Amino acid sequence: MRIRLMVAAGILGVMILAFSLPHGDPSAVDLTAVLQPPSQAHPLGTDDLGRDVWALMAVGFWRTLTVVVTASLTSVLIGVPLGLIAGYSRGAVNAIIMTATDLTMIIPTFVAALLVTAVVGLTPFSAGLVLGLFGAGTYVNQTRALTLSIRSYDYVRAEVLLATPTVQILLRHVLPGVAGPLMRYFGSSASGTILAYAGLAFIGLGVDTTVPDWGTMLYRHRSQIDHPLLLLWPTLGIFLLAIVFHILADPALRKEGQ
Amino acid sequence: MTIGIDHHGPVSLRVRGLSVRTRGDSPALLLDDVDLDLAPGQRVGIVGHSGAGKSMFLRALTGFCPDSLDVQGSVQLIDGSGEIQELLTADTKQRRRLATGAMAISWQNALQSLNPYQTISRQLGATLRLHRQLTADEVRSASLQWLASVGLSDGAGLLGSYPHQLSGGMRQRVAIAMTMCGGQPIVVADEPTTALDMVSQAECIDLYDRLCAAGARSLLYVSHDLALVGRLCTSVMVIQDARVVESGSIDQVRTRESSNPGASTRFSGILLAS
Repeated sequence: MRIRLMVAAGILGVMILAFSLPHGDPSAVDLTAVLQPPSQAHPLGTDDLGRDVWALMAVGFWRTLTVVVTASLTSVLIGVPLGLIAGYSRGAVNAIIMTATDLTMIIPTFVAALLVTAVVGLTPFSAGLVLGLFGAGTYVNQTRALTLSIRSYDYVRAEVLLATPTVQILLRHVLPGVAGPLMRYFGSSASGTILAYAGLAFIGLGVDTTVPDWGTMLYRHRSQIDHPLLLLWPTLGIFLLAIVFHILADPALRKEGQ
Repeated sequence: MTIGIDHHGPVSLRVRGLSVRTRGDSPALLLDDVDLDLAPGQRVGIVGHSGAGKSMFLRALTGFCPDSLDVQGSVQLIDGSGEIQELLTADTKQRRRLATGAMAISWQNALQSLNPYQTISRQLGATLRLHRQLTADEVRSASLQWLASVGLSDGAGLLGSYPHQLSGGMRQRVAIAMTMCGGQPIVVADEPTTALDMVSQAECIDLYDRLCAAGARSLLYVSHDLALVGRLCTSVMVIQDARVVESGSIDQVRTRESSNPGASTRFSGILLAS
């Protein structure tokens, strides 16, 4: 299991390093060199407009990473505090938070993201924000369930009796117990975000060819099946990034790896 | 009002009509009208079968009942000068003062009473600091002393450990150290040795015996093991179906049983035999 973790961390590290290297202009069109196979000048070849696929992949990588970070931070920063408050306070506060959560959860995240990005445009930030906002409900539910369980433990009840401030109880005694199990979900939700963003770009919302996304690359080259490398690179990128987040955030794997 | 309870002087406990019901339209009675007097230095064992209401009695007494339950009655702490403090109606600050000054509690499952995400050092240190202003060095030294006093000689190694890294017996000893280190005059223990093997059980009982005797503390000890209660306590209270069915000194209970065997309850009968 330690090997899986090391491989996952290694893949992410290599991707970050490789895509940080200087690359050509992803929007530079060269019609004299279209659909070139990999070469020294173009490590991953060129597309049907003669653009460097390596440069397209690099831009797509950073945009995808921005989406994951924005969506994850939004979900965690909204979902975890609300879940802690709902689980700990119960009563009217709990009812209000859970009703609002249920309302956001009945709208499918992908559909909400589709509507918002159609209006404001597909940027990594807008997509990440919407995916994060509508994904926060699951964090609220999971955090609340864990908080309800932990607050019944004697070490938490003792703090209540000792009149320890509620914020201190939540941060010192409840949050550490919530964080571990949530990490597992964090991995799968990050992977889901990568796939959702690729999906949004694929269905044509990221049509600005000067700022490519991996999903846009798949959409653009979907008919060029006689040049499978053009489909392979973005597919491989999406797959690797999704699986890497899934493995890195799995607490069971990290525990076994110790 | 400041009473002697803050100074760890002799404190008596007087419980009158303590009842616990579930809230709602058809409340279930979980504890029915329990009275108890605990004099300074006295040790009372509370026995009964599983689900009889022993732990519920301790939880109601100490304020550990969940909000879904309605606790009625009176729990009074009486200090050496005769001043009385009511525990059930005390506000949060009073309760904190009374809890840290008068009563220490040890629960059945040390794994749930110790915070699994904090080291022993941090938890024992926080407990010591509840009672006295101490520097970091003093906390460490006092922690090592208390761990040694409960038979954990490798205290330095244990201080950096988390509860899950210790065996059940070691965890229970740490819990005993945390219960005793505040010096409160009343110790409340809810089946603290249930999950332990026979040897660890005997060692923990010796610890309670020794540490309570050393501080002249009174003890409320819940157990379904009558032999343990007979060894540790001078009085006994038998709870059955949420009510007290027998109470008094162990000798009195034995005498009553011998003179009136027809009235014997299941538990006092077993106690007599043990």
